[in-house]
Amino acid sequence: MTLLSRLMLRLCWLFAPRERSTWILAMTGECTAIQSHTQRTLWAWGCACTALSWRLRPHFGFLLTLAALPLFWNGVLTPAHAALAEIFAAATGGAESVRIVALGGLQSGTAAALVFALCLHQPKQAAFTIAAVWVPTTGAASLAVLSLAQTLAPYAQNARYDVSWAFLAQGATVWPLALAGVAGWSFAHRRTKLAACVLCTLACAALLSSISPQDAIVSAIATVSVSVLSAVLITSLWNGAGQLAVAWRRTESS
Amino acid sequence: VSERNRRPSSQTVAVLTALASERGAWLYGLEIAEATGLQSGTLYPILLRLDERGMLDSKWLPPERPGTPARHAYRLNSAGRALLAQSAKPTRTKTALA
Repeated sequence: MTLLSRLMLRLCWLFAPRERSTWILAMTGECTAIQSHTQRTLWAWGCACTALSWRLRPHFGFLLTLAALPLFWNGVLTPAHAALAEIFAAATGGAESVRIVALGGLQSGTAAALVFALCLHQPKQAAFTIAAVWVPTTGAASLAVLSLAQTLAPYAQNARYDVSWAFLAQGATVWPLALAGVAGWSFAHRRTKLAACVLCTLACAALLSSISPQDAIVSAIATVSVSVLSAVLITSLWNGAGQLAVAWRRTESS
Repeated sequence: VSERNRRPSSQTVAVLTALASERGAWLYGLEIAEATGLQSGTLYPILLRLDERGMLDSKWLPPERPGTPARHAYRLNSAGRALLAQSAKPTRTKTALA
């Protein structure tokens, strides 16, 4: 058997769901019975495609949603966000900084809501969902980090804004989506305590990180410290309430 | 259109015909592929579907040569033959056009 056909049969086992292993064995058995190398490679290719289709078929709707997301984001949501930010800025005096902050908040919020909903629907694919939503939405700007000259161009006059700043500022778009993904995953697994904790952390951190939106470093430090503190606070309050409830039940029974 | 009432595709009919041509005989996947001209990527999803709907009997046959794996063989059962007979009937549209 050629290396290529052997590799493709290995991929069959990798792709195929466990309940279809009999069928993979059947396809592999036939493949070894073929004499011609070309025919055998073609057969193995067909087997790999079949195994992949068996794997992807149950997630077709989910994958279609993710595939359509860049189009929907750029065609519908981005103009809607821009219009809403414009309205918000006009209502609060027309400052450009307000418009930028409102636009960023709307984009992050929408992307986080999308990740939450998708992770709730498909908790097994939570990590993949976070990456797949982040890249075409808020992460699109972060990918500009790959071309640093372009990313740093607006800040070229100020020596303080270096490469680390660019990574910090652009990479900061990941955390709301990661937290929203964890919250969706937690709700899907009925871990409401963790989900509530993560959602509260997300809300507190989002609120406080907007204190100084112009300065990415201050914003990032505030976000991290507030996230940790609020998570600790919520968990201890929750545990304290649980212990109080247990103690109350004991006194009632005695 | 429900799954049960849907007419089988031409490729499914080709597989059913290939299985029916050797009445009662067990056929390997490779033999069905040669008879129908279908590639493995098309053939196996059809065989799986037919098997799940109870149209096929399948079993493992011992290898012909030592050191080679066992092979899966298929045979049409009565439900499969009924489906083939049903799919051979002309549809209402075809009858009306004739």
